Amino acid sequence: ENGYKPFSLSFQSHCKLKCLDQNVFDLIVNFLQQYFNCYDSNREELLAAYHKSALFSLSLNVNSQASFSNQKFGSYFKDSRNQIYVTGNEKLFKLLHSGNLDIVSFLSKMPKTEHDSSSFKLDSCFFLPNMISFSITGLLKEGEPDQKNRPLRSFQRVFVCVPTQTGQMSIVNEQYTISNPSKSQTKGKIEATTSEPMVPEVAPIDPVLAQISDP
Amino acid sequence: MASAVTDSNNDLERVREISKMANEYGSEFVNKFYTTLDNKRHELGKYYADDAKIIWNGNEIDIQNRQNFQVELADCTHSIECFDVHPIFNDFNQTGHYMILVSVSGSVKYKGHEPKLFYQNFILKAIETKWKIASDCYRFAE
Repeated sequence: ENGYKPFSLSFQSHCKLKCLDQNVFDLIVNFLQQYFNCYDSNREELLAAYHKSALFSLSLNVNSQASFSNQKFGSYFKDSRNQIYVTGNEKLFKLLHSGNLDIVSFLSKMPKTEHDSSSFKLDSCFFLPNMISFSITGLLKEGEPDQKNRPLRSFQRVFVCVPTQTGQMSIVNEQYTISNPSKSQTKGKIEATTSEPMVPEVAPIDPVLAQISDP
Repeated sequence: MASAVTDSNNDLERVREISKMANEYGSEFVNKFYTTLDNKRHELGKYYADDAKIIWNGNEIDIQNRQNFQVELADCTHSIECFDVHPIFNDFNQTGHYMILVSVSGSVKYKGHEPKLFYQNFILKAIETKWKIASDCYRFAE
C-alpha cells in the first residue's frame, strides 16, 4: 500500500490511427501503464525506458489565459524551456537534457506526482517502420501524498520511440508541458465529486464538429 | 581512446548544431502556422505533406478531408503561450534527414466562449527543400 490509486489506462479516450496495427497500439498502452506507474512511485526505474541518446525537455505554460487556478510552480520553474520566453542557443541547449542518465536524474528531482489515469487521453500520432510517436494529455496532483493542498496540473507529454533489440520501446525524444488546469478540468475534479456528474463544457456548434463524436 | 573522446565531442557538437537549426525553423513554423490557421485557413494546405496524419480531439481526419474540415471549423483565435522544439535524429527516424518535433500549448478563443486550454504537437519532415507537417495532433484540455 503506497497510497496511490490503482493506475489503469484501459477505459480511456484514445485515438489509434486507422492504419496502425492494434498490437502496436496495445504495446503503447502497456508501455505507458508501466511508465506512469514508475513515474509516480520510483523514477529511477525509468532509466531503462530512455535511449542513451534521448532528448528531453520540460516547458511550462505558466500563466495561460485559459487556466482557472494560478498555483505557483516550484523550484523547477527555472528548468522550463518554453521558447516564448527562453531564447539564445546556449540557454536553449542547456535546458535540453540529453541521454538517459541526465534525463532520469532530472526527472528524479521533479516534485512527486500522482497521475489521474481517468483523465488521460492518448493519441498515436505518427509512425514509420522504425519509429513511433504518441502523446498523452491529462491531469496530475503534484507534491507529497501527505501534503495539504497539492496543486492540480494539466499536462501534455509527447513521446517518440524506437524498438529495442528485445522488442521493448525506447524513448528517443520527449517533450513534457505542464500548465495550470482549465476551468472545466478544475470543475471536474473539485465540484463534480460532491454532487452530479460533470457535464462537459459545450463545444462550439459547428456542422463538422456535430458529426464527430468522442471515440 | 582518443577517437572515442573525439566522437563524443562531435556528438555533443552535432546535437548542439542540429538543435539550433531545429529551433530556428520550429519557431518560424509556430508563428506562421497559427497566423494562417486563424486568418487564412484555405492556405493551410501548403504546410502539410500529402500523407500527413492528423488527429483533432481524438478523431483522425483523413488527409483528403483536411481542407473541408479545417475551413469549416468555427472561427477562433489561438494565443501561443508555450512551445518547444527538438530534432528527431536521422539515426532514429531513418529517413535520411533529421525531423522536427514541436509541442505547443496555449489558449484558443471561440466566439461567445471562454478561452480553452489546448495542446498540439507536430512532426515536421523535410521534403525536397521544404519542411512539411507529417503529423499534427490537437487536443483541448477539458
